[in-house]
Amino acid sequence: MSSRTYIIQLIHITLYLLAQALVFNDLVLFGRAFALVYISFVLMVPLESGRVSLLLMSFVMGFLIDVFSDTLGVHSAATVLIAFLRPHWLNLITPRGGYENVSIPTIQIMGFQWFIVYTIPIIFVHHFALFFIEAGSFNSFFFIFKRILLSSLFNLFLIIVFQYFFYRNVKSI
Amino acid sequence: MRRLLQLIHYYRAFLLFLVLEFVSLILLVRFNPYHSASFFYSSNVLTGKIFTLRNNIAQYFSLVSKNEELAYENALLREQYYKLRHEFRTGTSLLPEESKNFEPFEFVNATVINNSTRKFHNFITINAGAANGLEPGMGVIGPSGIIGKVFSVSENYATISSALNIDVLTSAVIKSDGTFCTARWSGEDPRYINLLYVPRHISVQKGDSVVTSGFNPVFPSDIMIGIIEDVSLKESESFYNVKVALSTDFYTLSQVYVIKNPLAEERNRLEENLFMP
Repeated sequence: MSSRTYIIQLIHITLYLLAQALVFNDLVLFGRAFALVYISFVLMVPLESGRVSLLLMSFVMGFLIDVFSDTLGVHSAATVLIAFLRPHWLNLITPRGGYENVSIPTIQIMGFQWFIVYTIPIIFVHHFALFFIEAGSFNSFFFIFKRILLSSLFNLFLIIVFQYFFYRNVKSI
Repeated sequence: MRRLLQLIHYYRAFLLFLVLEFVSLILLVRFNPYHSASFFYSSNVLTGKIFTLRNNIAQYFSLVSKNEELAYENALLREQYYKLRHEFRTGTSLLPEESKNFEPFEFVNATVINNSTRKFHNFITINAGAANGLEPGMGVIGPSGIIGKVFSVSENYATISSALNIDVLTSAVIKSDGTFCTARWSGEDPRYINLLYVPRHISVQKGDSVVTSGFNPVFPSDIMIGIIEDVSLKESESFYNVKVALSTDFYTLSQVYVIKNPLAEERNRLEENLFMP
């Protein structure tokens, strides 16, 4: 990865952080569905970046979100988990042509169906880890599980909207 | 040695993953505010500035309702003032015993700049800090009741662990009969808090007020917590399940008061000695 790409990723982290901390942290639907759009950052890290830099960038992203929402360690743990799983998941769902011409796996380049398959498990794993770590126990299991499902749906929707708003002009290599 | 290094290099992503998860876990478990700086919380300078900036913009949209709230509180205080003045003049209040028990609380006024209600551990950020004399552990109240305790402070900002935090326990009494109990949030509904340790031989009525006990120096006595909404008792349990409707609306917090008790340290020291002969 060139240093230019790193700088771009750093700008992305800052923008996602501000959006999450100032706007989306306060957006809770029906008191159940949380908007955690910053995971779109982890989904949209360029494929050329190595596993190590993906992990480090995701940790930074999660840690900053933690500092802004007073949940030290919670978002970092969940975000690092999905950053670790992402390359493995990408390998499992390799499309017929491979990823040869793909810079960033956006909805425009990869197609709607592939994108849904790519996104849903990652969102779900992230929310599952996040909400149970935050609760610190399995005591209110169904209450938390309802939160996980509703938040996953809500974030899937938001991430797709983000695709059409901010990732429209990503060019394939 | 070479093989070992090769092995480490081969599994570097997995190892880094383990290291980062371990770091997160340490952050999660080890960060006790009383021992750490405020840097990792929303009370740090950068976070505080950013939240203040947002609040400066956002507060214009709720000026009317905030004004009404403050005017209402003013009216309430004025009423109390006249009542006390009357009692003072007629000599029905401030008897010698009462004035001896008086603890000289001071109040620091602050504005909420960030707030959450939907997590299991909710925190509030306010725009007053060490410069205003705030310290971790101080009590925080609002116009209509308790809010929480100061958790961590920086020079100009402070993070408060809200009463909506499953780790915060508040010492409480049921006003009608003086039953001592503990208030703790269940983590599910931000409008209600639960009472623990209300023994079954007591008759608890729906509609009773629950207030702070004043048994520790965090809150003065008689600060409103809420009103009992629902009482249930299982056959096998020795304590009631009591659900209390919070008097504070945590969704719309704006003005809060931090309580400084100049005698807190002296009292803590004295009470600590009781347990350490």
